[in-house]
Amino acid sequence: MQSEQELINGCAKGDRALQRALYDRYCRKMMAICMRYAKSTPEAEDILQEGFIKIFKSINSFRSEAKLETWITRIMINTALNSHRQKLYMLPMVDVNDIHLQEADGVNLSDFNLSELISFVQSLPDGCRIVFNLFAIEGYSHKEIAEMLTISEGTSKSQYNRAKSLLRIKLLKEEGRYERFK
Amino acid sequence: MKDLSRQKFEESWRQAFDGAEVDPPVSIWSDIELDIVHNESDSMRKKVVFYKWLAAASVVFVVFLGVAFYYVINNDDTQLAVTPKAISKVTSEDGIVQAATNKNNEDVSAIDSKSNGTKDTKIVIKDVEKSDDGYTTLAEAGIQKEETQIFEEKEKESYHVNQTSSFESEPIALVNIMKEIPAIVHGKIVAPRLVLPAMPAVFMNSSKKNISSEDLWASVGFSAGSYNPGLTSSSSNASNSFRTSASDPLAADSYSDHSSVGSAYSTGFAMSKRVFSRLVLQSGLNYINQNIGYTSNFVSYSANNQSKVSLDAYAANQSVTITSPYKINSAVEVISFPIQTGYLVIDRKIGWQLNTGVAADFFIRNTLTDESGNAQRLSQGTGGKSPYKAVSWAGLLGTELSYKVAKQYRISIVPGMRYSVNSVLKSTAGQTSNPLVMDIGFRFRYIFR
Repeated sequence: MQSEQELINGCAKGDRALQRALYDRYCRKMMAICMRYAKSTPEAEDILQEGFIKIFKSINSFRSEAKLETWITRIMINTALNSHRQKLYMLPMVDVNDIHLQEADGVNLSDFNLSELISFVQSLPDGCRIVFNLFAIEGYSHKEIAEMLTISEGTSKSQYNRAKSLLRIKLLKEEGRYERFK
Repeated sequence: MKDLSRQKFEESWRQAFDGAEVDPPVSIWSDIELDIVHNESDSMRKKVVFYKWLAAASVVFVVFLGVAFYYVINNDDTQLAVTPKAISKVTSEDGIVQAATNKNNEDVSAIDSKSNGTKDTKIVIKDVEKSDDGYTTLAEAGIQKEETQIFEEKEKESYHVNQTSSFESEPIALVNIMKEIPAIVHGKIVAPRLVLPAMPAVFMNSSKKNISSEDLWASVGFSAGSYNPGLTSSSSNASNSFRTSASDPLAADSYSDHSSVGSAYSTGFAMSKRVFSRLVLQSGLNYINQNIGYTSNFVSYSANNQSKVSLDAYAANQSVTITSPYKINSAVEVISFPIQTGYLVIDRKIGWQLNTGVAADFFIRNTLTDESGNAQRLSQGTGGKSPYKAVSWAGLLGTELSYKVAKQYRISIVPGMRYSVNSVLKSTAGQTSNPLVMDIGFRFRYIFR
């Protein structure tokens, strides 16, 4: 098994075998990320493909200050954001009214498998889905998200709240508690 | 409590996706690999295009140089002793030249030159009104343009020169004489101040000698440049030209992409004969190798089913398998017999020749090589299964800039282009290919005496 540095050097030289090795090592994790940002599996596959092409093109610019996986993840997220950017311009994110839920109605995610959770996230509207991923999963602040998506901080917050509310409803519904909640 | 709950919500999602993995379809890597190969081809194509432009720029540069040299050599009159602006009157009667320099209608100087058929030469300055350093600057009198300016600055000075010389009554000759002879000014012998010519001495020689002794020569050379196969079909089945007919049933289902530009090199020798004063006929023999890379996902298995063979095995009626894309190189080798006529625009130590002609190209073989080394290399010569014609014709256009390095040797730089006037592929190939090669070469010439 090649070390990270060997993979980087090999990919920088265009060694096809090492490019394949790097792809094999990270493709599954990256596919999971792409699935969260995409609306569908084919869209996620497109993002994955485009992301890895960017990675191989720009691996010369990789500096070892960051972990390779972190760098690859960042490129993959940027690729996903770019793929949605046009849509976001066409349907700009605006403040939405929060759906207020009682905090006591929390859900246990361990009741669901990964593909179910991904499908829940994919069911969110584009803007909500992206903000949810960036805030809840990647850990960006609303200020950072606002800068990344060129939206206001308030819009980011409201989109996130809406995403959170929609997910709660979805989860409760799946647990059979939605009717009771209603 | 609310904040805690929110953090718990986010944390639960983060944990749910932490380390999550989803298997992507196998085909994604093939698509990525294909894209990488495309990018590499694009990069190579850009390099080749660069060299193509470099070759074109070289041609333009050489033509420019040739025109410049031709202009300079054919404009020896610029070496006249007095510039046309400064000369108001030049007459020549019975070997007498009179030149009068005039500015603002003032009589500035008069130089008389008389030929009496003898070799004795002297200059007599009849009148010098002013001399800064006791030496006359008579010889500066307009040898160069700059000198004319000096002359004009001294417009109040008046020079009168009587000259008796054996030279012909041409103004240019005056300069030569004045470089060599002393002058007498008010009874003093003064040394003319010589001024170096602005151009190299090789161009100062007004006699126009052809290197007529160069009537027959042989040359060897090497050239390299860009190669465009000039395929007329779309890229989706372009590589079929290298192996199968258009009826290939797999062509529509399989991927094969063709670079638009490759590289070519040639080496050979030529014999040239001057048939008229400036007309040259030349012929010879060249070996030409034309390379182009592309991607394909065809392979075929050899008869014993033990090793993969790239592409052309299909033409041998063997089974073809579609595989992941791989990069392949196609090399076409040709023996060419050119016949060209050349016009010697400049026929001196530096030579410039324009060439045009035709060449009969005899196909030798086409070799396909899998660059990854997984598939066997395959060569296919001329014959019934080959998509290539045994003979094709190409038009040639080029130029040759040479320099005589010794009595019997010249070296030259030869930018040129060749274009196949008819398709190099058989009609059964289902498409046409008219290769265009733009190259630049170097030749070494031996002149027979």
